[in-house]
Amino acid sequence: MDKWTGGESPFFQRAYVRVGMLLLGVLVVFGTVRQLSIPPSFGEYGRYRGDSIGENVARKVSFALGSDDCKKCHQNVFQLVMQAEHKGMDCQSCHGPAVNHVSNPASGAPKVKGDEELCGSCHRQIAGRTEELITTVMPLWHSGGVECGKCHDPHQPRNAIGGRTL
Amino acid sequence: MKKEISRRAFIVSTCKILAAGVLMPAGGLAVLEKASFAENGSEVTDWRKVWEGKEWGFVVDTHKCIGCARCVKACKQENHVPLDKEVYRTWVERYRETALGVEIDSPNGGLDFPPLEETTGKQFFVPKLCNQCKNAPCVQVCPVGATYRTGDGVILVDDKRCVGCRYCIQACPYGARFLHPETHVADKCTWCYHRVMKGMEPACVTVCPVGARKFGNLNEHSEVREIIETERVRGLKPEKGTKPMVFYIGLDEVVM
Repeated sequence: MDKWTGGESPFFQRAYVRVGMLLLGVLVVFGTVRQLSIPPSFGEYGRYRGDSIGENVARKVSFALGSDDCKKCHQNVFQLVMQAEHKGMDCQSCHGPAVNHVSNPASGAPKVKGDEELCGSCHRQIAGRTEELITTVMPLWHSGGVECGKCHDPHQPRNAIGGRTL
Repeated sequence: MKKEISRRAFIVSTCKILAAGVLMPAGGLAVLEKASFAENGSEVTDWRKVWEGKEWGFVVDTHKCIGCARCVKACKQENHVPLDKEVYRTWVERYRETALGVEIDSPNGGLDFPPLEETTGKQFFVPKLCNQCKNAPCVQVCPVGATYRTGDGVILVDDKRCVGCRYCIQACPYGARFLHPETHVADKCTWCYHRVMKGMEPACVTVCPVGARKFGNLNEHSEVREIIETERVRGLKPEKGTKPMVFYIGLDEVVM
């Protein structure tokens, strides 16, 4: 009998057995590599790692919920702001991220300086920022370099200069 | 002694061996998947339940924006993007119509607009951020499945899976993606998904002093939904077919 068809040769020396074993080996290697290279939660919700959602959500928050958090302790300041131009703004717009201060008030107050850099970010006169939108000034002409906070209390911007409250 | 094997017996046994070879790794995979499901660090075991009834939407009112870039700063602080690097999850562009045509600038993402007096011609600010497209090119092109759109409509990046190939950065027609200078993986606005899932608003929405940014659930009766239903809004680059989910009020035709 022809040797390529097996015939009288021992089982593992037959050509089709050898080809079968080779194929099996390839399949096992493929399966192993695939198993090792695909992360465990991949495909849970789509073509991505399901665990990644939880990891994204677990990121630390820096900005607190909002002024309602601040109001719990700083009721007096909150009342002042509510009567004046900056009403409705979130405290953190100027004071910056405050979640650490909210969860642990002793851990440093988010104090800021009422200077040209801070106030100017909204009130500096620049192209595109029109008077219909917001009151703008040319800081140097307006104050000659004097810090904004010297005349304006940001919580009631016009109060100290004999101006109005809303 | 020579052991004889019939053709039938051989085919049957070969099929059995092959089937075992195919099923064994698959079976192992299934077991692994189950294990990870149980030991998933966060309390949520099925995000589908969390996503149910939610579709987030974002509205930007270009009539209100004063270009103060508080949003740009707050976003960087909230999402650990270095303040001194020229990469932004959200930024503010300024459009000015001049004799030479439309000039667009966004120095340092809008944080450093130089003081200028000239006020001739139409000029306005346009805040930009990720549009969380319904048909997102960045998700389609990612070769490793490191970016995806959640069931409630936010596109996230898997920073452990991302290989930093920058393909998604090239694919985004809005330029909303960048390579994070510290982690060296793709980064982008996530509408502060970590805050939203804790019941907060995105940081940029919280700090906007003029209320130019609004965020909410489009499946509930929310302010965002009301604006989209009652006002004239449009998304950026509709011709790209990406179905952006940031809706702009008062968007000028020159805005790209």
